[in-house]
Amino acid sequence: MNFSSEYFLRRLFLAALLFFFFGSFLPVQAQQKYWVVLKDKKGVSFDPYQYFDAKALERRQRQNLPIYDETDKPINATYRQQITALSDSVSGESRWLNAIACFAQPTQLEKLRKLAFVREIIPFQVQPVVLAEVPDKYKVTLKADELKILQDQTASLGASVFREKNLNGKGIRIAILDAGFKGVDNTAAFEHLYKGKQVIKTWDFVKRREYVYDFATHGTLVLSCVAGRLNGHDIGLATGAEFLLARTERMYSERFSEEENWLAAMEWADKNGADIINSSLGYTNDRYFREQMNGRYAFVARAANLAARKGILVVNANGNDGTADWKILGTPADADSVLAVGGIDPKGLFHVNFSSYGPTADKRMKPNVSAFGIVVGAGPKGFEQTQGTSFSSPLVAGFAACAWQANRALTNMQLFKEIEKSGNLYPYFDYAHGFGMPQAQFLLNGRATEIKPTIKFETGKDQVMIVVKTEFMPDTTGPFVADTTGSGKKGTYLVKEKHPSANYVYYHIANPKGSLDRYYVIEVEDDPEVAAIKFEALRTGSVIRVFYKGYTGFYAH
Amino acid sequence: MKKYLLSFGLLAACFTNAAAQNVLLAQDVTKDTVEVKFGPNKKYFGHMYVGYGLVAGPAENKGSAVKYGDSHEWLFGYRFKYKVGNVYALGFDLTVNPVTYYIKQKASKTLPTPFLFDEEKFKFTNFGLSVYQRFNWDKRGNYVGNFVDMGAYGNWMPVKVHIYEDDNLFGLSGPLSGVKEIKVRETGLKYVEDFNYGVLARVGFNRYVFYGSYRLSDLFGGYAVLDETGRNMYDFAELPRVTVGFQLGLHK
Repeated sequence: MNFSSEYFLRRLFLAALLFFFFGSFLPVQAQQKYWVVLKDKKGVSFDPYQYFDAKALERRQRQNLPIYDETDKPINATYRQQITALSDSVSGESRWLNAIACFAQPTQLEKLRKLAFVREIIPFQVQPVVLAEVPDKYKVTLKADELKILQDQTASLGASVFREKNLNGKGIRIAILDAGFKGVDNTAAFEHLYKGKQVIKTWDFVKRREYVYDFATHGTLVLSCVAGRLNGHDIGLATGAEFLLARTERMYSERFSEEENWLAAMEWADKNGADIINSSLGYTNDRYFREQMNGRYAFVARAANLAARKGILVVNANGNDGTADWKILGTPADADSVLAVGGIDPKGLFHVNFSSYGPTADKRMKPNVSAFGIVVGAGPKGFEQTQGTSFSSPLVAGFAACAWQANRALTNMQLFKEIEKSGNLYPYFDYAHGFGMPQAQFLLNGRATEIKPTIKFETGKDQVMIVVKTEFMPDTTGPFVADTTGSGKKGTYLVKEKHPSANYVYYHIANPKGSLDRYYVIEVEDDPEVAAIKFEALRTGSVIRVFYKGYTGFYAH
Repeated sequence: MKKYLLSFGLLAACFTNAAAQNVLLAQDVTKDTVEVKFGPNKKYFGHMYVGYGLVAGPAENKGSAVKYGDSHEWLFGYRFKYKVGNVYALGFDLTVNPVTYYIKQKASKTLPTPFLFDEEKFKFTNFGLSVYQRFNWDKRGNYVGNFVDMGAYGNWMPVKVHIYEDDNLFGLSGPLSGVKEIKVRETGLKYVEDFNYGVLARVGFNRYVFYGSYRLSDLFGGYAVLDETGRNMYDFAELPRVTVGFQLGLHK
């Protein structure tokens, strides 16, 4: 090395080079978006009768909830002023979370942290995932297999039972939070909603305007799976419900603002009297680790739980990561008060491979229930087959609306439990199906109190064997096999002749703590012996539960 | 649908078995929930990468001037990272790094001779080890995320080639010789150092990385043959020390 003037010239060049890298990069990153969470709402006045829609007050009164609580009060205006003065700009706020969204430089952040009324500062989320694949082709006529999916997606939940009792969600207000509702205002599939004045309010939280019928068709397809009707076919179950449509997400470009929009839309839905919120948002590995999917870590999960505390049933897609490395659900589906919905394959009538698995990081069962994950929905130009738990979720939201209409005395969490209990697998569960597909029949009429055992456990020297009883071995001779609900009532949901779904044995091995170690779905063929489980695979206190043809048996080790 | 026979291994492994049935779904939650320590934002991570950079910055003097834009390097490497915390990590790279310097053919040229050719270049191949410290910012999931790396490298350079070609090389090629062009390849260049070292910096956006490196050590001067005036004949002016370029991490 030498120390000639050229050497220093080179050093200067290196310095310039590094300055170029850092100088051109850091300013872009320095201005980050944050939630500034406040400690209190001191001195804030609030008139719930002026703020809330009558429906929102009604919902609280009906469920014996306070007319308002601290979270409903607005942000303290003085705090807002101070934060505005200390940050680059304020872009929004959440009264539920008592937080203000703002852009700030690192130096401003330090000043914000020092404010006595600031509890914490949290960077914004990025890259939420819309849990669906949206088709780009639409049509009016359907092939036979598509028509079957269309009919079965609601029939599998007990559409005929709801119809018999004139239950279509009337009087229930559902908020749909999505990426855009292109064509909803002029598409035949939603004509009945406009004729019936069932679209109560709309708001585009991205563009900050009322018009939401643009940008993406994802919300259109989702809405159709709740309440669409085309060519005489009901696409969803709640064709009589009222709707609040909120555009909160951009379909292809994910921005910081989307989480803020989502929270604002939740509050908007609450204010405007939503009974049910359907959301197809899911945050996964872009932001979180699997061990953080515990329903408490993510901001959106906390907000979803808050909505539930205000008497709203929050229905959320479980996620589409079943075949991805992530594999498990996203947030806010991990929140304990969110009804997370998994996907079912319409052909096999069990878990569709892309549907995310549970459990949550703290080993709670998710999804809670399931519905078809491959559906036929309605877009601006007609029918289209599409897939994603985005569409399982609105099918269940529609189911929930009909169920709530049937019994308005239920609180949201009672309804949550009733929907779980109406699952076709209940009380059996696993982390692919939850309690299975909710059944109108079970929800409205209950289950038979005594169900004849269909399986038995045969204990050997070193193993226990699950055996199907001879009289319940598969029978494929009739024109229809038994329905998948296990109700034994043929005609409610007639599956294709010789369809194997009625012959599925579901079994799981639960550990002494109650969470599952393993679970299986097995199609019974000729042999009544389903599985042999060696004792060495079990721990003291382990339980084997088996579901077959509506009966759940268990073996405790 | 997975046939029973295909699934037998899985089922046998967890001490269950079934007979003549179709296993439609088999999930072992205990395996799913084992904490993973290897991943882009886990305790340990490693990945392959490729890179391409251009030689930049001034040569020591005009005697070693290079053609900018043509002079370049390739990088093929493995990068390991040990996560100390969410904002700080340490790591090392193992690289294979072929570099080519195209020498400007001007009257002022002295490296390695004053002779001018149609084309002249040095091709070096480095095998390197570098260590770095990484500063990440922003919370993130299991992604490498955005980062700045600062580090140092050391290279062993076993392949050192000097190539020049001309269609009229000292009269040995050209119209009169019946030879269109002569290309000379000199290897085992004793006047080029076997080892070199320097510092590096990187700015990365997950798998996309911009980098710059600065060679602190000299390539020439260690091998000395004195001429009649006592001057070392092989103490050439240094080639440019800076390289800037782009790397692509082969990970998600």
